[in-house]
Amino acid sequence: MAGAINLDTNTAVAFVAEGSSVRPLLRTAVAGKALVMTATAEQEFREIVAACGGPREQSRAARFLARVQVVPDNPSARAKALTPTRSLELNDIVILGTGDALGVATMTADRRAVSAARAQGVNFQVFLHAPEPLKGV
Amino acid sequence: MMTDAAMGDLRAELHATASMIRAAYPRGVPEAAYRPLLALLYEGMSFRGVAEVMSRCTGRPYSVVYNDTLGAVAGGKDVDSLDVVRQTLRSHGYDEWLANAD
Repeated sequence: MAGAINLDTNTAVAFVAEGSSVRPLLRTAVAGKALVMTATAEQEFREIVAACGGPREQSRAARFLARVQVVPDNPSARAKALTPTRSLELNDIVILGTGDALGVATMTADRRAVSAARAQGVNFQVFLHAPEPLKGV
Repeated sequence: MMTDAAMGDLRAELHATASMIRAAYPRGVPEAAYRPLLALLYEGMSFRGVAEVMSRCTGRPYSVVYNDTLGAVAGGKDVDSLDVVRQTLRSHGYDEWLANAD
């Protein structure tokens, strides 16, 4: 899947959060790339937007999801060999590992999960950014 | 407050964290400690790990705690509140817990 980038849940949140200070950086980073999300990340994102998003953030999330291709969860073999820990949840493995299987970078704000995978010998290709929450606006 | 039943459902990797929180806040996590606690837990856990354990400890939905954790990590830190919560956690093994982060 050349020319694509895989988005973690928290990256999608940062894209649609009201007043997001990281959105310009994220937009620049994904320019010209196809946006993909795993089924797991999309589901988490929908649940967070439903629980925490205000009307403007919900509208922005709907427009955002219209631009995203949702792909099945399909983590790479080396991702599936990772052991879940308190810093590396099963959903971290699924999302980072599916990007790995697709051969694309994953954008995420969760540097702890990335470093926990690295501590087990798996160095995922990632684009790290600062977190940004939904504001309820 | 986290019940024994909720603790039983928690992944084994998160038991030590939940025990530390329960020992530090036996009557439940007070509102003033909630966000500083999220930020301090993220020093040794993933966002999802924090959301999982704190949703069990507070009864708040996982999605809400996940978003609150993003805010606690991103937001301007209230240093005084962080120090108060850090000191409370330290009395219940926070430094050792951090040292054992993977």
